[in-house]
Amino acid sequence: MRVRLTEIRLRPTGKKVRLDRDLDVESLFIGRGPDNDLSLKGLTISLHQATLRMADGRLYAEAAPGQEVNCNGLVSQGERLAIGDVLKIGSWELRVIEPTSVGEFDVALEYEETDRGEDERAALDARVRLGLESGAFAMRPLAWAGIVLVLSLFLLLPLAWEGAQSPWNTGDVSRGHAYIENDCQSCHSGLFRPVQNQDCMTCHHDIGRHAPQTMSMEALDDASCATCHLEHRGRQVDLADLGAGFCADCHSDLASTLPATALRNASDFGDDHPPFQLALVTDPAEEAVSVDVTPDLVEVSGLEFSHLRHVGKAVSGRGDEKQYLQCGACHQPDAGGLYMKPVVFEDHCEDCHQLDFDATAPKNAVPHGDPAVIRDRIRGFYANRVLDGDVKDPAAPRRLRLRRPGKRLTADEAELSRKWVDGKVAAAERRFYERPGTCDLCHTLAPGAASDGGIGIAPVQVQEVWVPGSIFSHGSHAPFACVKCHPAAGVFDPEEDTSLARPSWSLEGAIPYELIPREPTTGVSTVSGDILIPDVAVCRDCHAGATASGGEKVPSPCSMCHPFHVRANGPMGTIADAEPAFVPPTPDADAAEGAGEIESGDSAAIHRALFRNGFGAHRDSAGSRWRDVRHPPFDRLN
Amino acid sequence: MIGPRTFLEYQNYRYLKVALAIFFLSLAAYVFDDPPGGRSGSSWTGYGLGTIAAAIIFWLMWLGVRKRDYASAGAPLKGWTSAHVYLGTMLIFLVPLHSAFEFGWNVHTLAYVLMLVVCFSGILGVAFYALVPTSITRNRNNITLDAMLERIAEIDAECRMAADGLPDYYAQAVVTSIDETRIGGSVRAQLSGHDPDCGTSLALKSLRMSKIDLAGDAKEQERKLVELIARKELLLKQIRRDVRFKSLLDLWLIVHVPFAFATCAALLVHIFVVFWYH
Repeated sequence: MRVRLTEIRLRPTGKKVRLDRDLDVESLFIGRGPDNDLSLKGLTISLHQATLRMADGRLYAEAAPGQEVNCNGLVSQGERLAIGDVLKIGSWELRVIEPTSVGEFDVALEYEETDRGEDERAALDARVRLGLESGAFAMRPLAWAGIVLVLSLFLLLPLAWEGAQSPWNTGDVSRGHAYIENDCQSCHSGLFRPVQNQDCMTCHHDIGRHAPQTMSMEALDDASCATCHLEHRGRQVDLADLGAGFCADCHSDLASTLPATALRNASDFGDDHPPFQLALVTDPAEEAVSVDVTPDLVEVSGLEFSHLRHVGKAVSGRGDEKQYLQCGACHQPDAGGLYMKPVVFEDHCEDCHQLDFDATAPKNAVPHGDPAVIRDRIRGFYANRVLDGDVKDPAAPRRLRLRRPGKRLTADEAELSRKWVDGKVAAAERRFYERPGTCDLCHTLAPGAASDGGIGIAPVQVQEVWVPGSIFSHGSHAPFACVKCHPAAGVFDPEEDTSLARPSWSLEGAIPYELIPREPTTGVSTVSGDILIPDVAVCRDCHAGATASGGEKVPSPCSMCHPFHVRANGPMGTIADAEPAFVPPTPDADAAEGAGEIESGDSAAIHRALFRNGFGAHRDSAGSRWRDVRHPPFDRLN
Repeated sequence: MIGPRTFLEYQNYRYLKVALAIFFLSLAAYVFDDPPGGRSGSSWTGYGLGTIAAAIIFWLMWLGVRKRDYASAGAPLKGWTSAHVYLGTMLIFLVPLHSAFEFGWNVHTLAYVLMLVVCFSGILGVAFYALVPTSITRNRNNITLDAMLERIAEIDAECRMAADGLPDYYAQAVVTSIDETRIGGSVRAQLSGHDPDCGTSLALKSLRMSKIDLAGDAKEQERKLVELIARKELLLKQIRRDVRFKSLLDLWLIVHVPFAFATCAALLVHIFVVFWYH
């Protein structure tokens, strides 16, 4: 076949020139190799890429073995070609064109390098990408992203929606405040200003002063609650725990920090704490007085009682079962577990000490109380016997013994009855009031003290809270036997004087009790005047100062026993001259007066005020033989 | 470039001493302060330390402005950088004193955590500047990166000529070696310092595995081609090491700067919230 090949070449001037070449070949070989009819440069072209051949007047392109031809963009092994078809070989284009002079050539082809490729360096540079920053991964966009992310998540979103404010919270609030944790405004009432005292006092409205109102303490009176009580420090943090040194700042040297007070210095429970001051009853008709514990101290309660004669004695329990009297039989903690409930005759004494008055009627007993009432009860009992015709007393006049019930008493019979009843009443009263007698067993008799002018009972005042300047919890000490702290009220081992089986000592609800071997040095309480309250040394068996390392003793900060805020002193921030806005939560008017009466420096009076107003006051009030015991203040917990 | 030794030792460690002085004074204030409610960020000492820390942070940010201000007549940039490094490092220890070691899952601790990222990326940057430039110099061996790339381009051209008369197998290897060789690319590729899919390595491997028996001129061409591609591969390793070293010098800053801005944002939120809910 005769072929005209026309190469279109680009001159450096940019001008294209056509170079014709005529061939007469059987087939036209195309490839990179120089042995081809059409040799094209380019490494992507095979040494022998394709062959063009005429058959039956048509032109065919055939790919060499293992190669392909690209005709008009379609890749195949072979293709019939027509005028206008374009073959793409490497960077070359081969076009089939109309032969210019028909008959002279069978086929006319033109070819040119279309994809001339840049020089090697430019091609390489296109494949080199240096520098870490690209697109959004660059300092500036990343910085903006960080700013926008932080501000929108942690400022704008929480401002717009309270539910997203938790990241603002610097820490959990204490357990007691957890219920208002999400209500920021309940404490933070004003924006851009600190928490105000009134924010706290919305709930804690009766929070007490530390010292009596007569003592001005600027540092405390002007302090804000938040100065000492830091919130947002975790659920378990005790807002009232201000560390070991807090109290000692003032109390280690009161002579210089507060000369007006007569309180003694205290800076560490283990090393520097004065002896306990007791609220002691020295005259049952008077208020208790504040005194130091001394060995010869005696309580005058108006009662006679011997622990020795009671504790550990075998008694008939309910169901006729033998039991030993133990502490819990009379001393039961109050519901809060702090102090002991008062001992009550009807609950604790009467089972053994019944107030019966007639041997023939042992189940008839008078109530414990006013002798005039008792006399009326006895008189009524015998008068009823007469009226019921039930006089069995062999010493009674015969006419009374034989009298039938229902008949009207004659004047004689009435006179006989009066005499007999008077005699019986006198006999019963002798049984009560003679010495030794029923009442005399525990009480001091006071002739003329009864409401009808008869023999009466001297006043009784039993102390329940002995150390009113502190809070002691019997409940917290429940694992220990009573005798650990009150040894003189303990007992001998009953095995020594009884053949009864060893009893179970732990009654339900009782303070655990155990027997101690009695040592020669252990005191024995035989009279009610004995002071069985332990002194500071006994507490120090287990309690050390706040800074103690533990291991052997309980590190004990001041606040373990002493509340800082004392409601009886009036509200925080008020002094004596100020308007008494504070009304103590008690109907007892004396309590309100109490704070004002105190002479500064009279520590006994201070204790008495605490004692009366805050810490379980004992006040006789009409109609109640037992004094009102109020709950100790919650202040310590506030 | 600022030599690490020169800026760290600036004025006989003047700013190290300043940073230590600030820290120990703060530590003393923290230790000797015993506010009634216990130490915290909201005691007067806490506020004081927080103010110092915030002031330092905003001042440290100013380095970004100062280093662009070539006309500045103030302290030399070397001094600024020295103070920047020492005061920034000191913040790691100062801020916990401010907060009295209270941390939590909140925006306040977030500000500290972001700041820690900034501080440690900065420390990493100082370490890189101390170590990497020496490695770069040693690796380059008195040739610039541009010269190395130029050499690669030359090799590519030579390869094309050498392969011209060789069978397709060789031509294909050369095409692979040229078209499939990339330098740099993704952050990971730049940091790794090598490319497992490097066209040149593949080409060299396939050339060495060639079973085609060539004779005469072609054999000479083949030998030349293999030698060229092997040289190219060595050169590429050198270039990629260089890219890796330079990306290390850039990387810490890409962390350092955006986190510094995020820290400032968190710090502003912290200050706003603390004084809002005072």
